[in-house]
This record gives sequence, structure tokens and C-alpha cells, in this order.
Amino acid sequence: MVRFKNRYLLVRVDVGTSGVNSTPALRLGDEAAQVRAVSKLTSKQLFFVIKNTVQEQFGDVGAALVGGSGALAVKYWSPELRVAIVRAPRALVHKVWAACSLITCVRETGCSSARLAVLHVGGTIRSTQKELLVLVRKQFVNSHIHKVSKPLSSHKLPKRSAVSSSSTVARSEAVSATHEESRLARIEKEIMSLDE
Amino acid sequence: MFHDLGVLESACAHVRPEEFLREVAGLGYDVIAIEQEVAGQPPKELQPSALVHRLREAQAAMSSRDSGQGHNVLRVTKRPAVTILSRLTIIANQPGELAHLAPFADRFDLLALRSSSEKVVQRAMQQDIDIVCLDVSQNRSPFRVKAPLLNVAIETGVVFELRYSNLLRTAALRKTFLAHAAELAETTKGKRVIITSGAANLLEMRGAYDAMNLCSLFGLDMHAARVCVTTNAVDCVSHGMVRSQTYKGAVAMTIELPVQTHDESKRDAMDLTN
Repeated sequence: MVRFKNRYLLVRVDVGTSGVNSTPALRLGDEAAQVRAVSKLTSKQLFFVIKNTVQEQFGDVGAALVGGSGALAVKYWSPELRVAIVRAPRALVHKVWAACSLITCVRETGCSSARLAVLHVGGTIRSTQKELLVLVRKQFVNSHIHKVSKPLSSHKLPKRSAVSSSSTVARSEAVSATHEESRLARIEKEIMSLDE
Repeated sequence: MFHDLGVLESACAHVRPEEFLREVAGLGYDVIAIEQEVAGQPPKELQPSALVHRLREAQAAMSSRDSGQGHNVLRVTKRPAVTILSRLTIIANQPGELAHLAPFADRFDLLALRSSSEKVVQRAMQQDIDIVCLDVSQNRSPFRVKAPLLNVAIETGVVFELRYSNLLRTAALRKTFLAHAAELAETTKGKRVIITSGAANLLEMRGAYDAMNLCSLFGLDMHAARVCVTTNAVDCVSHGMVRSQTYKGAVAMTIELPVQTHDESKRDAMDLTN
């Protein structure tokens, strides 16, 4: 008996608004604002967004082939990371992928435009998890280094008061660093607890 | 090396240059061409947009910051530099409208023509252009590219452009574009075709692999599509470079940079280990 083969797409949701009538535009680089915007989105809604796009683009035949057997599913959705793992039948993964690329708006986020960027395509959920972990760690290290590199330059100040203030800065940095680390550990645990 | 040789000016007009660069690097691109569109004859003194200059400056600042002290030790923030090119697209649908391109030949990295008329395209092939983009913005498909025209393109080094942002706008546009793209893919089999975004804002851009996968919709497989965003695009850029930076396509002048000696590179290596 040959098992049914799937592919797992690692998908990131980006949203944006053009910023009309004095509301500031939602920027792609503003991670906090992005997370806030997609926090309302649930994995079920995301599933229907993809499914409806497949229906719209590939019609009844495409929708039946892709989703009929129940192979299409959102296995994981983290609003915090803006990342989802989408399962698709291997034979039709190009259709599901194309459908993801053709999405221009996710109404549930309340933003005028959106993009689903495919970051990785894996053969098992495990390899996709690993890729996600690598990405999360990279992001963590990057954001961390930018934070750490700032107080380093303030150490050069000769004034005593400046030194004491910089040490409090360093302490609060350290507190936020441990907080960040525990957050990373939590996310890692969450990702690894996924099951096929 | 992934190329996107058609990002409209408006895509980067409202974002900070650093953010734009980070975003396109995140999507996997190494070379981006910022496109200015002009209908009819552009003014003689037309220069590449100030945005191109600003993006290049921001890129230089970012690269030098990345290679500075501290960051280099861990080598985590080092990003590949994105090359920014300037592109001028001239829109002409009547043979009489075709502009003289000679004044812009050495100012822009890429010269393109957008047209729905076969006559205009044939005539433009005689001039020094790099990219031909067949206009699908109307309700009907543009003319069919046949073998003789393709042969001329191969001879002169001109490439045909397919812009996937047409897929993201309206259903009617998507239909005409797909019909045109399938036809072009069939005739050319991916030869002398480049895939660009034609994005009017950043969210219309797709990742390099996403763009390649979209080509499967009109019958180019992943491998052929990859050639379209890499090899064919490199050819197109070097074709533009021969026009803009050489004298009669034969002689080019370069400034020779001082060569780093063996001792210096050794010292740099020592710095890293400390």
C-alpha cells in the first residue's frame, strides 16, 4: 500500500493599506503593526481564503481535485509569526501554490491588500517545521543584535551619570532579552509539538 | 541571481529606501530595475528617477554598515547587496508615435517598448532597445509573436517581457494575459522571455520562486521559468550595459580599484578571529 503523498507549504501573510484619509499606511517593515493586523485571522478563515481562491481560479474541477479528498488543510497558524503551514496533495501542489500567490486580499484582516508569500515547500511536516525553526531563530538573532549593538556605543561615554544610566538600560535590555528568550523557547516548543 | 526588471516607480515612492531594499532582498531578488513609463516622445532632458539614486545610496550605506565592526564577527546581518537599475519604458501603439531613443541610450540601464502593434515592434527592433512588452491592457490579446519576429529578437538580443502583476488585477485582464502568455510560451518555449512583476506597489511583488511557480499557469515549467528570471534577464541587462556603457559596443572604460595585497587580507582574517 502506497501512502498518500502531500506537500507542506510554509506561507507568510503580509498585509498592507495604501493609507488614505489621514490614516497612516501600514508598512511591510513594521512587524508589530503587521502582527496586530493579522491577529484577528483564524486558521479556519485562512483555510477558506485559500480554498475559495482555488475554486475561483481553477473552477469546480480544480477545487474538487485539490480539496475534495480533504488533503488541503491549514495544519498550523501562528498570528504571532504570521506564518502558516498548509498541506496540499503533492500532485496538485503547483495549483495550491499558484492560488496562494494569486491572493491579493484577505478580508478578515481588515486591510485593503494582502500577500501570501511561500517561504518553503517541504515533503513532510517535519522538514517544514525545521525550516520554520531556522527562520524564527534567524529573525530572533537579527532583531537581538540590532538591540545589543546600540548600548555598546553608549558605553564609550566618559560621564559617570551616563554610565549609570546606560547600566540601567543594560539591565532592562537584559530583562527584555530573557523575556525574548523565553518567548523563543515557547514558540519553538509550539512548533515542534505539531503532529502529522 | 534572481532579477525583477520591471518594478514601477510607484512601488518604491512611498516607502523608505531601506525598507524597500530589505523587502526585495527578503523576496529573494538580487537585481531590481525601477521603471519609468512614458507615453509618446519623452522630453529630451529626461533623467532616471531620483528614486534610483536614493535606493543606490541607501544600499551602499547598508552594505558598509553590515561590513563594519561588531556585526561582521557573527556574520548574521550580512545581506547580499541588491543591484538597482533604471529602466525607461516607452508606450507607442501607432508607428508614428515611436520615439527617438538615441538621447536616452546612455542614461538608462534598460530601454523598453510597450506596444500592441506588430509594426511598431518590428520597427523598434531596428533601434537599440532591450525589452519588448506586448500590451495586454486592452480587452483583446495583442498580436501573435511568430517565428520570424522571434528570429529577429534572437539576432538583435531583444527579450519579450511577461508581467505577472496582470494576474493580480481584474479577472478580464487575467484572462487576456494568460491567453497571451500561453501563446508566447508556446512559440518561444521560454527562449528570450523574461518574467517581471510590473508591480505598482510592494504587495504586488511576489517572491522569486512564487513568480516561477506562477509561470506553470501558462505552461512554462519550473526550469524554463527559472531561466526566464535568471539567465535571460542577465542577458538582457548585459545587452543594456553594452549599449549604455560602451563606445559603439566595442570599447568600455573602467576604473581600476587598488588590489588588496596578501598581507591585508591576512590581517582582516586575524581581525575576525579576535
